[in-house]
Amino acid sequence: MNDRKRPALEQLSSVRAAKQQRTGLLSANGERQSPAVAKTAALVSRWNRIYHDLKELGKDTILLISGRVVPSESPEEFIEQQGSSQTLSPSPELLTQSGTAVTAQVESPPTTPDSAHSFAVSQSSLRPTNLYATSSYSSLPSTSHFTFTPRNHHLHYSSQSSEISFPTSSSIHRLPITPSSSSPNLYSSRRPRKKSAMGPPPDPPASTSFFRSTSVLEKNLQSLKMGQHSRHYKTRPHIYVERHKQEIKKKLEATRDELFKLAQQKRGFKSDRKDFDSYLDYSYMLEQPEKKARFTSPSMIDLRSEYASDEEKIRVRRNSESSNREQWLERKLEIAQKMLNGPRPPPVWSPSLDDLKLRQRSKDDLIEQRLRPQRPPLPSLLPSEDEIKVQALLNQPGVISKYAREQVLNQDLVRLKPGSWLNDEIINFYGALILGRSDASKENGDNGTVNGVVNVKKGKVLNVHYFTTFFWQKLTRDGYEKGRLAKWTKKVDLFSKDAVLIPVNHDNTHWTAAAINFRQKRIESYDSMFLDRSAVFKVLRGYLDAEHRNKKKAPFDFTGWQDYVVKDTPQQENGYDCGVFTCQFLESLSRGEETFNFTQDDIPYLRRRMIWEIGHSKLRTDP
Amino acid sequence: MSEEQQQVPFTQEDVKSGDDTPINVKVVSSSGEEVFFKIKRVTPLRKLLGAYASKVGKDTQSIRFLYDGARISATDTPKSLEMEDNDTIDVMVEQVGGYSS
Repeated sequence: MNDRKRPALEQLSSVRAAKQQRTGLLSANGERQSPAVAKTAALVSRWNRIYHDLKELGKDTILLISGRVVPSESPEEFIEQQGSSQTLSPSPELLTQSGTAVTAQVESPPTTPDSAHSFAVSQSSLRPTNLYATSSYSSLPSTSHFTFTPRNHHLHYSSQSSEISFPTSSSIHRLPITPSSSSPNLYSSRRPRKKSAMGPPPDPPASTSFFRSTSVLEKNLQSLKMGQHSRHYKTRPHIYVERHKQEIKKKLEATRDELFKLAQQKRGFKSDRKDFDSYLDYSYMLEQPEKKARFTSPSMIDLRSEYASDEEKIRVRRNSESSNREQWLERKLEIAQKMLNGPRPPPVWSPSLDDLKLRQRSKDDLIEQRLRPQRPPLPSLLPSEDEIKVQALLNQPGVISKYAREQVLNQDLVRLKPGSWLNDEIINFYGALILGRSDASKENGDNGTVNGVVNVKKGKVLNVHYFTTFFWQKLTRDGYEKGRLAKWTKKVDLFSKDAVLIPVNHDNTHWTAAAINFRQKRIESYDSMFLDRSAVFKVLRGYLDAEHRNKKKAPFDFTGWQDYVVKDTPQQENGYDCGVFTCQFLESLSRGEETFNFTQDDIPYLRRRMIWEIGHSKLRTDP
Repeated sequence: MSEEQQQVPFTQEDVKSGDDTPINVKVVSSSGEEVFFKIKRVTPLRKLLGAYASKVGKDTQSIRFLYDGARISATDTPKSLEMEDNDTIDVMVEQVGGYSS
């Protein structure tokens, strides 16, 4: 137990010495200079009381000391020095650290009164703006100044204390080596000036004999002090370094956030933030060729800094990697904002064949749109009597309606109420209505020829074929041969149609519409979720070829055929309206529409309208 | 007599015609299981569908019968659908599409 206790006591000993400062102070000095000590003790206690006044007085102290210590230097230099010292030690915390650090290094074996003394000094010098008092104490070896003011007493006192502790310290002989072996850093260049500043002070009016005899040691003390300083600057970062770094980081993050937002806004950047960060870093890297040339490796020392002056060095340090990056990011942000707000530059006109085709097509579309009467926006309600009928249909039990081979029961019809998804019965019934309308319009046509243009002009209804929802399942699961799909079209010649409409059920979770458009040689896919439907194109191409080989005994000619996806396909904004979208896609396609005039907002209306249409086995003609 | 029945499809339940030879019909489920039936050409397919549904233990409303892609309704007969010997009827189950959030 004792073994364990002893180290603990030793550890605490320094603290105890610090606590005993006042008594130690008195006893240590009482033996030597009792009148001075008595006065000093009184002043030290007073010092504590007038702490706040000393804040102002401290400045005078600095002025006084520097005036005494640096008589040869110009005021500008002094101010600069003062400024730099303030930037180096702006807070009392740092002072505390430095004060204790200095004392701990000078300190001789902790049990001697001298050490207690030196602790007293360090403790009493823990006041703001007193760094000079602490750092320059060795340059004031005189004992004759303690009649001036409290601060001078303090100064004197601290200098004396270090003198006393100096000869007994065992670490002194080791310490002066340290500065010479230390590598150059930012503050090392300051050393010569400091030396001149802290050099031998003007001769004091009176000196103790002890001090005169140890003039060599005084020089050592100077270098010791310098060594301590350089060590201190080297090993301890600024206490606000972390906070500063965090602030810079936060700022960078904010800039990146803003850039990310702009990128999403301007370019429709779809990837996530992480990708954007890597993109930024990458473009930053690519835009820094000269930077890379300057510093080929971070471990290499830039020799130019050797010749740079202090100010330049500070600038170089400020131009470090992080701040460069910050500036770069800010510049980027500025450019992005300018581009967002400024007028768009005119696009460069360099048409390819595709461009010309596209231009031609869009011109055709414009003409077509002008020829075709504009469809007014969909209403939000059916006529009131039809609304009543819709309600009655929903309450009707059993079989609601039959058309061709399809029938809809009440349990299927209620799926058209808002918020539920559709099943095959509804979609196939609706498809049968579309098919029936197409067939009827064909029969009513004057000659029944299958010319899309003629049909569009006649009744705006194309000659279409509708495959039921099971077609896709058969085709994908069993294939053309095994699914006996050849027999599905034994009464129909697909290749004479304007379009073939196919509702596609994806794994029993999603409905989309597909179409084979013979007029425009397109295989089309309409997905209200806008997912990748390349499989649809592949499968339907395979089907077309197989069907053509089966019926026409020749491979299908795919020349000029393209896979077609409309970019502004109406999109659903929930998880249950895909069936309604699919039905409406098919219906619009059967009328040869190139664009859809409904959006998610129209779905409630369209659901009620579909109930009416199914209940009456008739597609409505009103918009 | 059979001519009449075709023109005026079955308003009565058990209209049968004995003068037609029965044909073999294969019913294939979506999972590939096959069930064979022998049915007369003029017998309403409703009977066959009911027999299949009870065999597999399902409600006729929940399954769909397709002959060459066309939905078989209760009033259809092999003759009205122009079915031939060893033809196949596909059985499909209900399809839905949506996402339950």
